Amino acid sequence: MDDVREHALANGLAVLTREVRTAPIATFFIWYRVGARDEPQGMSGASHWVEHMMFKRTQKLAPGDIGRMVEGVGGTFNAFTYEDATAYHETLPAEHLDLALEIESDRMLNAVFDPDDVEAERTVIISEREGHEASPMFRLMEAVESTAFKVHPYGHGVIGSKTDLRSMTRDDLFGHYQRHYGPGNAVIVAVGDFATDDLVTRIDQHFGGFPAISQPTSVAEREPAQDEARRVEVHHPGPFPVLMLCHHTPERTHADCAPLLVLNALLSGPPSGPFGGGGTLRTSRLYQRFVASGIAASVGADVGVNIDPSLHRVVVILHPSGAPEPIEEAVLDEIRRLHDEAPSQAELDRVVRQTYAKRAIALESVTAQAVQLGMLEMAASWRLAQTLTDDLRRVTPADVQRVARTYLREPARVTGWFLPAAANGAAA
Amino acid sequence: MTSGSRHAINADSVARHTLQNGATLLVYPNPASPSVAIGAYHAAGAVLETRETAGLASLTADALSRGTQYRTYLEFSEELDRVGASLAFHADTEYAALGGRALAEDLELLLTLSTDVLANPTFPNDEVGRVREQTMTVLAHAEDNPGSRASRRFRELLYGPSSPNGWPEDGYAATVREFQADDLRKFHARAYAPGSLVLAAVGAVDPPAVRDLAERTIGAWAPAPGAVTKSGWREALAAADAPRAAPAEPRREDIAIEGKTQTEFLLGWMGIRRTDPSYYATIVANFILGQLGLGGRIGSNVRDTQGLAYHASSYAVPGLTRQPWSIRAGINPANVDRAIEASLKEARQLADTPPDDEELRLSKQALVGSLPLRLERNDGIANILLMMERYELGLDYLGVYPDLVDAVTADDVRDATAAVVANPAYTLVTAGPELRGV
Repeated sequence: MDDVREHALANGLAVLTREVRTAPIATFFIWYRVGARDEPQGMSGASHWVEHMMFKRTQKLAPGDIGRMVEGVGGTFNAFTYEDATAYHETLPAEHLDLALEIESDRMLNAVFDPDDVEAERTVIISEREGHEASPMFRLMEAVESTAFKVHPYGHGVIGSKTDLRSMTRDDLFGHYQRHYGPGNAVIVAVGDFATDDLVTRIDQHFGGFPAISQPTSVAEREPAQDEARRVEVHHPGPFPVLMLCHHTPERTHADCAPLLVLNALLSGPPSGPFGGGGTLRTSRLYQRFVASGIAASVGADVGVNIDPSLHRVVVILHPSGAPEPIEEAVLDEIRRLHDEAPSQAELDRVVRQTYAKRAIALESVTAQAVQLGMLEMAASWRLAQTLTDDLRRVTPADVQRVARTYLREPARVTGWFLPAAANGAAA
Repeated sequence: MTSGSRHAINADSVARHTLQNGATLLVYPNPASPSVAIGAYHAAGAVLETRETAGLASLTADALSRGTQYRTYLEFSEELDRVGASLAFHADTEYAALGGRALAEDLELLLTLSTDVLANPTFPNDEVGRVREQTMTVLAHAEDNPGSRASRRFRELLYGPSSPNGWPEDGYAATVREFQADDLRKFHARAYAPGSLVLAAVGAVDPPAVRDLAERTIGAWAPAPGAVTKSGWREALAAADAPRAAPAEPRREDIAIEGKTQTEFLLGWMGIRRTDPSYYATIVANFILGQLGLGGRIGSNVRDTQGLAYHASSYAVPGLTRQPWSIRAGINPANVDRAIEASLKEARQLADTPPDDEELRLSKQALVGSLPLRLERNDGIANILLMMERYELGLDYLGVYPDLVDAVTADDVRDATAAVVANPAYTLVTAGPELRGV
């Protein structure tokens, strides 16, 4: 990632480019700094709904046009919304990259939000939410987030509550779009087979004429420090119990993030998400304790990579007849082990080696590279992609023990259980 | 029509070699990458099990790496994790498979471990017990999930009880809970053999060196006496493919699952084999019907126009045996019948009237133009090599693929659709909250 180039247009639009010539394709992402953390009370789910509306009508395009334009040349396209940002992307044969510029420059300012389209999409999004509701993990995640964050918008999920999805109006959504979509609140990330200077010129031609907008005021109030352990239980029909045991962690720019990533690698595996890792290694502490031993069906852990303070999570899926108490006690025992014993230097060296290999494999595609750069830039800085290996190498055994004691402590804990129940609420 | 890929994957660039034990090796060098991907398929799929042992092939593949004559499961995992590599085994209905990723310098490790696991598994009793319990948990989840429930029941109805295509790959709780380590050992002895194995290696590798390495590893695997041969596998596939009398009338089943708010439906017909001459017309038709943009014509009607669903698409699955052409969507229970009617209307419309020129052109260009995206990663290339070998398409297939798609006419699309979906006797399964007034 040494060859990433940074550019800025006069209206504030930031551009990151990386030339990769291994295949005749290119990917174009535009990231807006708007997600669940930017949604005021009563508008949970607005950012995600706006994302859906961007595939509807603009002053130039009708519903379905984007699909026809991109797929008609063999490309792919989509979008996603999460806590901190919304991203739109097209991956295309390189000679057709201008299609992405046309689409994204058009919908940055010209989306129409036709009232009929808004109403049709309301039921689509409620349907999306009802699809998620089939998952015990979704129900548990919602309960845990709302328990962990009483003030900060991370306490409501990205998809939004049904109440808000039923009550938000076309004008609410259009206002959200107008406040957050504009060149000064966006970052373009392009990776692939193109000449950078030429691409930047074309980006300027498409986006350079847009007026700068004022930076939207953040609605994300700082979450007060949690001073007492919290607990939540979801009783609902389902196949097995699930434990989600969380602790509050700092924002991504905090110096303790690297030791927390190493700590998490010992528990489950190399840094995932934007860092390219993912999955629980079979030699990890949690896998050995829970899955290799046969006491649970699966286990994983991750650290939030977010703008604001987030959560470290351990998730254990039990066998259908598994008893909750011993599992929770065993997770706490692994946390005590982190408090009591500093890991060996050899364990830390191994984390660095694993991280290097996993990232080399995960970042083979231009799309994966653009996701990493954009997501890190949204949370802190794309330069974390360059420094990650060195950041991890500098972590000492004492650092890991210190962050375990600092963050993975009882008052900062949120324990969530999904417990299968009959439809009437009785134990199943 | 051109695909524009920078990779020239053809008979000149792909090294194909038959190893001493009959296994086939395919190697494609991709020096731009620091990594390597391996992939393989072989006979040991559910086509070699019976209805009474549904799930045995899958459980055997899942337990394969849990101990060999030379390594414990922990030692196997340690060798991989130490270098950030991965190697996994599983079984589908038609075949069993493996996939591995590593830095290129660790190819030898991947092939050594693959060989040990395929040839020398011991299926320790305690490890088999753990894998069995994990599978029981997966099955409990499938029972609770509307999409899985609909899909499993749909295949049972479509194929009936005598075809392995009709039962789920991971079996039933009633069959899986009975499996003992010895059942897995016997299945392994019968179903695992190098004769049907095709292995692909793609990445920063030197083909002659890979060939030598493969001869020393996979090539040294001697089949057990009486183990399945390539022709035995083909016979099992043919038996699984035995034509079943189509139903005379549409059939529908509604499955109620406690605590759900959304209904998933799966509506479909028996489709064609991948080797059928109408395959290319079928994939173009399916793309128009349920893929282009956000779900093709079905997505446009059910999602965009009526706002009934988040997902609504159609699928024409390729296979060595006949596979379904199906439509699936997730719908609020109150709107299920509207969505089903709209989906059927779109399918029948395409069976009656050829698509217009622009829709046809876009769909064909999408199918051809997306090829470079599929060739970007080493594992993507490996999967395409294995696909070309499995369906006997030849190593020059990617050169002719654009022309095969381009040759599809609007009438071909209508005819391919009519041949399958014009049949009024569809199979429909819904799963979700109890439906009222159906």
